[in-house]
Amino acid sequence: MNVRRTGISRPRLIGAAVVVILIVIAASYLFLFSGKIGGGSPSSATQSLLNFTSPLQLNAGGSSFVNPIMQTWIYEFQNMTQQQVTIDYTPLGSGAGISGIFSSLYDYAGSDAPVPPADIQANASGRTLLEIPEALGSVAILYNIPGVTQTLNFSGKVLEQIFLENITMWNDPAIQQINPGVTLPAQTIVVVHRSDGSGTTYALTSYFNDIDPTWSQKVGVGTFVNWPNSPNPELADAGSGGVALQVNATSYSIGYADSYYAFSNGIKAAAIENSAGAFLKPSIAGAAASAAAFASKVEANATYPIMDAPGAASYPISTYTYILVWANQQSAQKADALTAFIWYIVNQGQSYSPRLFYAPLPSAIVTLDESLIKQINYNGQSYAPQT
Amino acid sequence: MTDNQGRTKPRRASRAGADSVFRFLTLVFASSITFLTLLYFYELLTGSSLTLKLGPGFITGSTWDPLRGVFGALPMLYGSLVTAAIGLIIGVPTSLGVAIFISELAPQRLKFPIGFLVELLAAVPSVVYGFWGLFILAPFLTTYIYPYLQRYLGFLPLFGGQIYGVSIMSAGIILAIMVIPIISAISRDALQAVPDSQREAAYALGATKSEAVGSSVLSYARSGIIAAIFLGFGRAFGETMAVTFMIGNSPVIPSSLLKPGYTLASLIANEFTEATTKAYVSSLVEAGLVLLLVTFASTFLGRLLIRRLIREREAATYL
Repeated sequence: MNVRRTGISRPRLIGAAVVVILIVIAASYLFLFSGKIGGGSPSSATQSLLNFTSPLQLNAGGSSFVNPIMQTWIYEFQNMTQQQVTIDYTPLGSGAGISGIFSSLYDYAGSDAPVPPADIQANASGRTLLEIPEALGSVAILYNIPGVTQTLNFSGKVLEQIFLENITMWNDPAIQQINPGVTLPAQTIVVVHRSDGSGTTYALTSYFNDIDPTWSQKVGVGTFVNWPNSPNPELADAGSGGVALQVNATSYSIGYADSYYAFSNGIKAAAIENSAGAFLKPSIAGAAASAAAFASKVEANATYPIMDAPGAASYPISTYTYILVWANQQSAQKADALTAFIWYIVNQGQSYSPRLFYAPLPSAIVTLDESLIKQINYNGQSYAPQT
Repeated sequence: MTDNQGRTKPRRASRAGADSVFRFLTLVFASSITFLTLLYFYELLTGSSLTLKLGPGFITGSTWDPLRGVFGALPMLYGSLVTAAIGLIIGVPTSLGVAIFISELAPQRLKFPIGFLVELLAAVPSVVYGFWGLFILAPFLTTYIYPYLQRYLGFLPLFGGQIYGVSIMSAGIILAIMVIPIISAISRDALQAVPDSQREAAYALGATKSEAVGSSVLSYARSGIIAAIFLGFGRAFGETMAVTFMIGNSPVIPSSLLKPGYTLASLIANEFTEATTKAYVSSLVEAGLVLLLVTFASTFLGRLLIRRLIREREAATYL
């Protein structure tokens, strides 16, 4: 006869259940009552920016390049409207942003890559897509070589050859030549690129194509390209943050990400040679100089690329990042909220740029943006402030 | 129903009514699961119809170049199978060890804490595994384990070449950790369900503890353990987030286990938002179909094996 008791005794089971319930309650207390990210509630003394009778939720997504400052803008704007407008931005990459705005999943999208005109034609069904420059930043080339604490220099050509896997070892003479004081190890270079559709990829591949026009046949220019996989496999990660994480965790690796991730995590960013022959690390000044060099071109065409800009102070892999939004909106509330939000971004929102390592928009571009924002309308009615 | 004199009493109508409601409800639940499964298959088949027409090249081709319309998912299928296999090769002996320890060898006081801690592993979210794996496990493996692996087993091409922290091997190891709670929990239940008569019979014949466990307990619990292993395989084959962090997402069949690769699940997770053309979406849905078919086949084979083992055991018991 089987008299052995199987299982756990009842008092012990009850005790364990009580402990688990207490932990769950404690955890939910911490989550629910510590407030939203950033903490604190808006003061009720100030008037809300917009007067909506019912709250409005905007869905958005796209570029991870702009995500650090986008989340700040969203937080501030939600406070300004006293939570009458809430915005949800998912940084799944510029490719996701573009497809999201076309499928009307998103009310607005973030993209560092301008949308190819052919794609707009195919998906617009008569609507006008506005591409509004919202931030100005740099693509940092991140690297992780144990034992190398100095800043590495790369010329555009050398960098392009590394990403093409024509240069495969860190101590290749081409790299050593432009880094005379650095002892480079005899290790294989592990290249990390984006696994998702990325405007940062677009900026980098655009820059490589500028340097070497055969790049577009070998790999391609766009948010999602055909990276080489031989002789060495390349690693891929989702989001600029993912690439930065991977480079941080993998010795002898090189990758590219929004400069925010380089500056905030202390990962090494390389100095790239610009068209005037100067080696510059990514910086706010470098991005601003690139934008200034192409100012008139951008004012004529908001999506003009600013990579490989002339001028001794220009950082060669700089890019604008854009808000994509349809001019014709489906409701007055949405037109009003989107107009107010984007107006805020290009005006007061720019004050957050320096501390998050973006360059503020030049004033001529702000004027251009305001004229684009005025095109957002519901039934022809614009909600932009009268300036 | 009989009363105290053995006569059958008529059932009262309300209880018979409750019975048919009960039967009806359970029938609804059972058929909804069947319906859901059929719906999955239907959706996956129609969603991938564009690339299904291209034939078996999907699982035999090794070039994945969606921009030029070439969809060869063999590297991903290889990655999924090999990482799951590594996960099982490492995970099954460990789980069995844990299960046998808890069920047969541990002192009564230790049974609950150890069991609880092992099952806590199952409560850790997949993303946290990936994060921990990338920052803690991968560097540890690269510094302390892989160099020795390469030194002693490096003559095999499987362990040669450049060592990567994110690789097929690392993904396999993290899968091993993730399947341990499932396999050990089910195996432990299977072992505890073995009647004491089996153990007593072995001791009566003079067996030591390990001989008793090995000969009578394990063989009696075989069907339950096999079920656990197939469940573990299903989990490991379809695992997405932890593997995406640890495998490197490189769409080639690597020449060694210490190099990065790709899995079907990571492929879908990474590229779904980028799939703008109909053919691309269809190819990703087909990857999902392959995932479902392999898991379905393994579960089916598992159940067949278990049924045969149970029959053998029943035949042996009544000899």
